[in-house]
Amino acid sequence: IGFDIAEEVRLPPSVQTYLCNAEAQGIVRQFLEQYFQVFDSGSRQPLLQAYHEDAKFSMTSAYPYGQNPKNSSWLNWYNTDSRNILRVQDHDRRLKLLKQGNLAVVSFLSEMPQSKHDIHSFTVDLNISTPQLLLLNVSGMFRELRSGHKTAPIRHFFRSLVIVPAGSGFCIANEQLHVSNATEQQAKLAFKTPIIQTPQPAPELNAAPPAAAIPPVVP
Amino acid sequence: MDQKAKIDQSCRTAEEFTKLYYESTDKRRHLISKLYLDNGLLTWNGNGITGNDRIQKFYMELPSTDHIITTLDAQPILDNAVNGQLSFLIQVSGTVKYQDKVPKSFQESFVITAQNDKWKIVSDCFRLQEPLNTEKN
Repeated sequence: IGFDIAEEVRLPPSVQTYLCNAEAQGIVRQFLEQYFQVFDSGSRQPLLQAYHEDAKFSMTSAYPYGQNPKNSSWLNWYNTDSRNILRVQDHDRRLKLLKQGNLAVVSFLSEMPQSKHDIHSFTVDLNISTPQLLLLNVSGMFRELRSGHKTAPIRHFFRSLVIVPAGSGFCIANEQLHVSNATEQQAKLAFKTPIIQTPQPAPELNAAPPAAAIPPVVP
Repeated sequence: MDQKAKIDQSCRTAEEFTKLYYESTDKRRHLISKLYLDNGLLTWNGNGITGNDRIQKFYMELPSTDHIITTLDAQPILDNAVNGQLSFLIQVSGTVKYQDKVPKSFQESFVITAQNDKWKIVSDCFRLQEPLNTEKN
């Protein structure tokens, strides 16, 4: 005879997308498509328009559970500039690793390894939607290109974005990026067919944006 | 407050906040609602839970957890975006064990704001680092 409290671990099922404001779907979808199209294009300079002139950006990186530099693709490039304040105690170093202003941000982004994101792997959480700001959290996978690895590593990312209105469109005021390696399970599914297919209406554009800019969208 | 002082404060606050937050989720869940604004929002793997009472109820029903933080980062949010009310963006990565099972990697993002001399969570976004369609514990 046993006891009744040795229960199994049951977690709520994961959901790919959460939008606190359904009306923002078009803006969010369009923003992400345009942003990552430029990010993966080979030149990230056009992202200057996507960041506020006082934008802040910082990055952290870490191996996922069970991985280390000996059994997985090195994260050395990212670890060098990882603003992990648990480890980086020096105030000046903390300040230096926080990129401030769109020039500094895009200059840093331009130095990052070339990438190809798997937009079908993305999870999207829109947690705040007010006239002053959108708070967007995005995670997913990307393949790192031309960075000297024998096989192109598949990485996992998690980005937090504070997006504010700018002129007739939007720009990023704050961003935090976490880079990790894809887990074995994740890597198997990267760049395969969409995980969950949800029919989504095409975003309505108020003006045809230049291909390489975050589009002006009037809410 | 100048930018440098604000940046310093965001880091100090993030260290104190995350210590308290994960101690609360792991050991004192009945107090977790106190960390959120009344109308705060938690998204847990894409499930949205609004309001500090409902968030506490959600946590009480979640299997027991043991979090270990690997990385922590913090920055002050642009003044214009928050009408000058001091608010920080905080990002965490680490591992979490559910009832002593194999740890899973997770990332979590917070927006906290100063309200009546207390820091409160406006938004909390939690994501396990695993594929969406292979939910196995």
